[in-house]
Amino acid sequence: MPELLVLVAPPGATIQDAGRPGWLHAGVPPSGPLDATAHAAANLTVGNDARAAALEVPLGPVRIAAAGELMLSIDGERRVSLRDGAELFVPPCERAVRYVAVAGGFDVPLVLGSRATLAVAALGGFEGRAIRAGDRLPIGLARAAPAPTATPTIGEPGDPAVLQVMPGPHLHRLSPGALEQLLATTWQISPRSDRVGVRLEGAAIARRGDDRAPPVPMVRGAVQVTSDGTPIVLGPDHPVTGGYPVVAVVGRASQAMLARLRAKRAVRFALSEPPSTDRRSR
Amino acid sequence: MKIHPYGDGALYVDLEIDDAPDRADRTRNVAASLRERLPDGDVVIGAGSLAVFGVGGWDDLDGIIVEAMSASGLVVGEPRKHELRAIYDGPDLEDVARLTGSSVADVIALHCGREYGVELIGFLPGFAYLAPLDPRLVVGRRASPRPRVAPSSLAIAGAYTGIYPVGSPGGWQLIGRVLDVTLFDPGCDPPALLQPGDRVRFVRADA
Repeated sequence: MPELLVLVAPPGATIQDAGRPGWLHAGVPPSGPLDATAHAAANLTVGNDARAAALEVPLGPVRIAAAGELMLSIDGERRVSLRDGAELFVPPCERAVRYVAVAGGFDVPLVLGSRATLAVAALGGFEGRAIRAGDRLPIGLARAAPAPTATPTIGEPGDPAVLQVMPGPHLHRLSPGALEQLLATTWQISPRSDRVGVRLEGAAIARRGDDRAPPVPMVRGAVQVTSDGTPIVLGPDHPVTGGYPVVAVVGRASQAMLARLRAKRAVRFALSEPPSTDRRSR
Repeated sequence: MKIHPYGDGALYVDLEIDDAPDRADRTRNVAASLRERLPDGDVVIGAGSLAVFGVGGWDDLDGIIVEAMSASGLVVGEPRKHELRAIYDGPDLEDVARLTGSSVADVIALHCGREYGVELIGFLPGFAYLAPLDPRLVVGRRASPRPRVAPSSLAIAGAYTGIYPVGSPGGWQLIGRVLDVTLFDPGCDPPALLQPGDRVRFVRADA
């Protein structure tokens, strides 16, 4: 079977499929791509299932070589064929994260039903860790005739990017006006951000009460407010529970947009309607 | 009880029983009842709260939660019991003694002198929050977390004690380590050794 040889990779590049749903109760975060839209687009372009395992590359450049014949797409851009031994350089771009999908997908073992890497627990992906120069990543069997498929897109983020949120469940644990403060502030993406969470700078959200709240379930997109008032938007490798209050929750489409923003980019939050399937009246 | 939408794929249920002495049992009962009614859902247990993931549309989910809340006399079954061998040699043992105004020997005696219940699983795969800690041992987290805590480290923070299932960053106070135990194994069913409701005792392996 063909392999993809890693010549250069930035820190934190991991294999991700669509994620590992259904194991939150065992303490296992959802994992999966930071930007599910670009991940699916890259896969569909090479004829894979949208949920196949692709390489997620944050920030830096990556250089790869083909061992055997490979067909690739970066972020859903036009397909590239690589002959045995050919190299490909993927430069960094405006987006904070890019996806390299290979026809056939990365054939790493399924762990709890998923090929996604959870580096913090050394689980899944390629040896449970970020990939590095010298790794030989196994490629699965490509489908016979990849059909060109319409690929999903989201609008490019504006400046500031606007993220849709719903109010969180812990407003009573924050000062009155905390949600309004979140909505009124123009935030900046902190460089101290990763797959666990994106930290935001620009103001401190007023807290109330002590910080020893017991752990409660967390969700991807939750905007936690830490003890010093810093909001953190939880990412795909978030801890399953946490003690900080959740002021708001970023919706799915906006999670992909957030993932595209490099450090220092400006973001604002806007309230969205609750999901239309939500018929509760209380 | 309050039910909130939690992002666009989940519901959050605050049982509003934060200070109830039987909080863990009641939360676990509601979770068991919800799992029976929603076999495809992923029900996460928190301290007096729950979240329900992966059940698609929300039609009737409120009704199901209300029903689960009121289901009385639910038998969760005989708790599984674990005896874990521990060595109390953690790097924060002396800090904990100082912070609690006691001796290292007292800290150890207070920690291994009681049985704990697993209230919930969180933080990391298979990380069990064990309670109640003796009130005299309640201390905060370390001011700055360690970049890496060794697997099997035995730790305390707030009202809980727990064991790191894998090496990871961590801010809990490390008081020792547990021997010969795999807390999380994705090849096992269930993958987490300690389940909510299980009872745990620490037995000194260095005494």
